[in-house]
Amino acid sequence: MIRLTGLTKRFGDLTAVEGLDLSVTRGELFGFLGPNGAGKTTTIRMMVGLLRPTAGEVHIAGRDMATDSIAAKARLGYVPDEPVLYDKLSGLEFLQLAADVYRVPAERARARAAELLDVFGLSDRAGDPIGAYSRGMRRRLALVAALLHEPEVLVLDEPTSALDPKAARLIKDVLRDFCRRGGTVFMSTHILEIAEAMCSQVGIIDRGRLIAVGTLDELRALAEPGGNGRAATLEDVFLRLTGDEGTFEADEPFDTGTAP
Amino acid sequence: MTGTTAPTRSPVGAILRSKWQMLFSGRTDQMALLGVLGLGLACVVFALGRGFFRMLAEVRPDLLVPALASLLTLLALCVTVLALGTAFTRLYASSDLPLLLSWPLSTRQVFTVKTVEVAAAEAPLILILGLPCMAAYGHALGAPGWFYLALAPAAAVFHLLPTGAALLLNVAAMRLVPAYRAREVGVALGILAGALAYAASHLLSAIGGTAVFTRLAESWLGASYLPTAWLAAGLHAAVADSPELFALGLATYGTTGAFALAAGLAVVPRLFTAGWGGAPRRRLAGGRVRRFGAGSPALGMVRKEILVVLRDPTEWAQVAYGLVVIFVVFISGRLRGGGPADPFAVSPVLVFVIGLTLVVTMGLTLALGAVGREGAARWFPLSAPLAAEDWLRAKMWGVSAVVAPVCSLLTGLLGGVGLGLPAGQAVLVGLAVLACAPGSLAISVAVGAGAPVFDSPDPRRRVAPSETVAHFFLQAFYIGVATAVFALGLEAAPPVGPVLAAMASYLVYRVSLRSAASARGRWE
Repeated sequence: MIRLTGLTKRFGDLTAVEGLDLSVTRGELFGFLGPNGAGKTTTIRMMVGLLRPTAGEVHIAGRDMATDSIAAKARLGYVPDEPVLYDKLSGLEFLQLAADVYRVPAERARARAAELLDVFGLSDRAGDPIGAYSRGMRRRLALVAALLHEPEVLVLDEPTSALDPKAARLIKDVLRDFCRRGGTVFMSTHILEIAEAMCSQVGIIDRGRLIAVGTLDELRALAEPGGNGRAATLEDVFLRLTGDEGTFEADEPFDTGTAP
Repeated sequence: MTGTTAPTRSPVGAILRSKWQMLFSGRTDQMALLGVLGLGLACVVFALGRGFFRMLAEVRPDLLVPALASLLTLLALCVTVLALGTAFTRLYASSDLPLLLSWPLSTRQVFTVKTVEVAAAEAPLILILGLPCMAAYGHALGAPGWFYLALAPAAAVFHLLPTGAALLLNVAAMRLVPAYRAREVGVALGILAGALAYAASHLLSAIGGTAVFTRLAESWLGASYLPTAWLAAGLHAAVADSPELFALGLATYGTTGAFALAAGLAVVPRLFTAGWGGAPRRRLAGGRVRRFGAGSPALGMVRKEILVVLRDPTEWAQVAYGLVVIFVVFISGRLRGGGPADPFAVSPVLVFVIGLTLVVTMGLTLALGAVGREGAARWFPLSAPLAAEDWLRAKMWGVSAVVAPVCSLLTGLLGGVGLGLPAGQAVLVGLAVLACAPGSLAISVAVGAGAPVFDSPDPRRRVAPSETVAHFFLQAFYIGVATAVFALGLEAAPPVGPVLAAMASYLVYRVSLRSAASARGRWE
């Protein structure tokens, strides 16, 4: 459903992503992990057509993002890490726009918007300008817009950041349900517990290179050769694979500068 | 622990230093180009000013000081009007405010940073118009060498009053209204200031006629009770080699400006914060809709464009400024001085040019910054199944739907009612403007797409400065071609004029669309 081949992005001398190869099959919930600045967001931006790769290919549901971008984009829904929306539109007007842009028939769009607004607890605020929404509400509205046209692939950049526990739980349930119905989710996250609890496959990117990909058990085995792979948490695996395992142990009391 | 304690740097100074560095960072070429253009313009102003003051010295030497005072008053009014908009943006809508307010700075320090920003934004106007004007005065009257050195403090001090007045008016206005009305008040201020400028100009035109400069100098603009008259008197004293009187004039003017700034700083802790805060706003009409969606991606994007433009008061504030300025330039003189006996006043071609100038003026904010206006929300159209051309087409159509009918109507009314054009001709000119507006707006959108600035909250700064300059040349060329085509059509048969103009407009629209779409890589 998602195929990335030799995906590379350079900004001048800086190589943000290099030779990334990855496949995600239908119905999978794929977690994309990596330290800050590893290249997660750049990869996602290339996947959804926001950035043009320096080299390599992106295929979404069999469509090449470079040569058939309209068809590829029509099959995916995207929520960025910071979903800035049009402040001057109301939530409902933004959904109308999304329905038009993704060519959802009017009646179908109206029914689906009502259903999704209800699920995400936005029905009462749908007529308010987006400028008056909180960050969490904006994120939920962006997710509603991404689901409105019933995409085959959902690409989410840090989907649970800025959400309260209730909303985060709701989004996890929605994503699981989406995959159960045959949809594919590609999401980046910093919260390893979420990836551990939700993802069927996990990929770890570090310094622009994909250093590991597989199920959690496969990653444990990779991080702990010879071990039974059961004891390590995803956090342990992540720290070992990214070579950032050290913990802070001060010999002397450390002055954090906090006022007494 | 040994070592010396480094002197603590002023946080305000450090912030201003970093802002100065950001201004030039990676934009050296653009700034150099703008510098050269500014210098050229300053030379023109100097030459014109010198000629005028020499002529006045021969004809009416008694009017020299009042004439200089009048020019300085007009310039101060212009700077104040512009600074009103800049001050509103910097004080209440700039993106760095949350960061500044989260730092351990007093409200007064934040206000000081913003004051310097406003002053710096308006400084080019004083350097290009004010300084050459003062230098021309001295040169025309054979001022001593130290006069030119004294111009530096004079120009700096001249800055104080308009900047202080604009800041004080903004801060006071924010205190009088609820926080969530701040943006609307900004618009009201803009329109009010524009209307004042128009009224002043209207009065001037009533006084005017052939000896407009003489009347101007004798009018209240040159009155001795105005601070600008004190500055003019000081400059005249400098020309006469009297440093004491120059210092006195400068000090009296500077005291007035310093008082305005000090008043702002004194009341700021109580007033400045009133305009901040993202209070919830009213529900929009879109809360309940009978029909969901516009029916197609193109129409949906056009609809969005229209709604976003119509609901953004800062866009309209800038448009209002532009329109008032255009009316002042083209109309006020005609309302009093022109008439059917003047063949130039009733020429449909002239009215057509005025109409297209209105379009360019409105497009300067609404169309040139159309791509930049997307800001951080551009992820949506760029990740949606839309070709770059579809998105840009929607921008061009959306802006045209707002601007073209307004300009067409204004031009028709202006021609028919204001300038005495026969009704048929006024309608014809209105139609021609309606037909040509999309071409002009497409040029603006295309130029703006080439170098958009996505993180500017100020509608006037959503495009790189060099692109804005190029835009004016392209628009001048387009107006010239469209006017020639319109005039040729009128010669053949009156209805042919708008038809030919429409064809030119369509051609320009197609070329602009293609050119703009090729800039897709710059929106990442």
